[in-house]
Amino acid sequence: MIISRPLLICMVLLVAACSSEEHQEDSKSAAATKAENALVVTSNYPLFFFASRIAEGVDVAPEIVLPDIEGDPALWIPSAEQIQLLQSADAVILNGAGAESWLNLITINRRHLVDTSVNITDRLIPLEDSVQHQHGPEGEHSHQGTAFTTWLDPQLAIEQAQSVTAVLIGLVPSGETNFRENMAKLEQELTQLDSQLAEVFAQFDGRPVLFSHPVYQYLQRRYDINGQSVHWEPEQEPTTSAWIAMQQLTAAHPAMIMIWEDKPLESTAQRLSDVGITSIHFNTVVNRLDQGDYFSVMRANVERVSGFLLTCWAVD
Amino acid sequence: MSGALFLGWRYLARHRFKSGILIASITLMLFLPAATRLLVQDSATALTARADQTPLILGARGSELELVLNTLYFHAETPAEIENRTFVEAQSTGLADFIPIHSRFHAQGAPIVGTSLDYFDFRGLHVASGRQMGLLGECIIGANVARRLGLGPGDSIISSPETVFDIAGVYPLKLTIAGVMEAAGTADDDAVFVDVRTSWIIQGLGHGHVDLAEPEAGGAVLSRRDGVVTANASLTQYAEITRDNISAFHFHGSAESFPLTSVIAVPPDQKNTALLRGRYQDNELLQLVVPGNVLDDLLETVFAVQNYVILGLAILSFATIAVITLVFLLSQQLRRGEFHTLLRIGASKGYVAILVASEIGFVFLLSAILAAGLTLVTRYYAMQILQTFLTL
Repeated sequence: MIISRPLLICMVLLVAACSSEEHQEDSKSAAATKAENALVVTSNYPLFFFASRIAEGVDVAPEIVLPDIEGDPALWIPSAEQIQLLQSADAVILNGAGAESWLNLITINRRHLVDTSVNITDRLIPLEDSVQHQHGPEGEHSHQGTAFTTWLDPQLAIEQAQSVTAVLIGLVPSGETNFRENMAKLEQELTQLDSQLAEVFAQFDGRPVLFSHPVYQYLQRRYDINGQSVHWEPEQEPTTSAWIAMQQLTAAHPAMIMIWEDKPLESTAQRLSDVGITSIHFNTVVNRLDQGDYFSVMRANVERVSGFLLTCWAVD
Repeated sequence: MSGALFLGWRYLARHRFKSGILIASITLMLFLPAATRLLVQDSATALTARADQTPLILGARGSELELVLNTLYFHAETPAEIENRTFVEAQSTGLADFIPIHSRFHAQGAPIVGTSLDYFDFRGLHVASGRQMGLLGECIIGANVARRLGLGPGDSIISSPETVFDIAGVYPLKLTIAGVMEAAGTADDDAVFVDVRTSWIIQGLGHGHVDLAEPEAGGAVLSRRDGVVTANASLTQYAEITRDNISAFHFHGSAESFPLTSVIAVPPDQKNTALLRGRYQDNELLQLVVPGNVLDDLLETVFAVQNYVILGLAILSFATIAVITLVFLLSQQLRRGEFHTLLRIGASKGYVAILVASEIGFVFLLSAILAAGLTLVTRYYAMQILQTFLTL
């Protein structure tokens, strides 16, 4: 409906009549209060661990929070309370690389988001499988992206931790020296872990490996593992077609071990064992841990792989 | 003295019809110019204040006034749209904080404004009840919308199709109300705010449906070939976004090509303001306007119109006074017998003069009181009445 100019003028003038200056003042004071109590929310456990280690022992460090995420963080849909937490954060530290699909589902202040993968985009691994669909004239659509378990490559993890350090320094400049000192220690530990992983996976010597799920891409690339992935869930019995597909895969890729995100069902492990495949649990450390921390769990992963090498392949 | 006043008052009460006409005429004579001047001045101040709080508006080339009115007051006349790419590129300059605005749709008579959380900080808006919008498909409504429609947190509001007869057009989306904002006394009180992506879903650029790779989609699948699944028109799209189906919502095409009606730019200083204005000065497709300047031009016209209106009213008032004077003079003629009787029973000429003056005084006093009351009432209800016009 087109409204005549004089009427429009009058309407606009009158609608504007009661603008309030008080709200502007309230906004300013709210902003001032917020700056004093910095809150940092991380989107997965490794980032939470890195941020906590970097902020350890620093008096003025911001509060670092990992929301309670049930199940896989990649499939997380934040609750109303968790969205409020994310909205109130001074910084939301993201893994990036497409790990936070929930970002497309919620309303959040984009200026507070920090993508820790932004400096490693050239080293992200694109996912290959996707289903395209089309309905109507809009064109095809598919769910493509990149692998996001970047922290399984300690060298990439170091760069992500450096991004976390920059965030903390930005929020609390007075803690810069301590943050940098803690980051140096963390880098040292990650480098040490990298050496341990490199040492143990070097002993695979190109022998084929199966991954129960396509989440080990960065581990595979970093340590040159000759691996192929299937889509098996540890808590589910594989279907007959899944077994057939696996057998077809192992015909060309004769793996003797399958690396799992979690301990598989006894029956699955036994059936795999019957065909000469040993199951090894290699925790991806993606979510909050019941026991231990990133390093202890990763070292436990190293020990389980070493144990296999000693017992099955008799490698010293 | 008090007797003369009493008689004057009783005379007016006895001749209610005549008195009523006189009072109504004088009331209008006083009310119209006063209300016009007051409203224009107050509104101009408030209008300038809201415009001044909005440093710059970026939009498509075209009517500056339409762009400013849509951005500041979510006026129904939508300016030409710009692509979200413009917003992304502007952000990448780092010269200002940028707030996207997509104000095109309506829900039960209220404009739906797609924006980001920055808008609420920028305008100093606070949640009165409930919480800030969180998931896609949620909205936060202004205080007037909540009061008018009797809605609150947890209720829902349905977006309106753009045209009644456009059956192939935009489907209504049921929006869940996450919260109600505190009254701010601005156009924000009459709006429904959603995430800008929710407004794109309302526009049909994004939608949710069953996974076409799943067997449940069977009847809606036209073909599966080379990893491409084509669906037919029977594919049911979700009309409401819930926690259960939100993962199925997705957008087709690049988000950078999605529409916005404008972008509010908030530069930190004069230097960045100048740099931004220079950046878009010669752009053939985009314009960066200073709302204050646009409205100053508008206000010049408004004040010119106001002066003409007041001049007209002054002439009208002069005529009214002449007619009223005539009425009183004629009345004196008609009441000569009455005054003569008063003099014969002992009233002085002064007494009669006071009697006549009191009648005139009462008429003007009542008119002044009524005119003041009407002015206040007009100021009080004007926003609500005119907001209704704005959302048409």
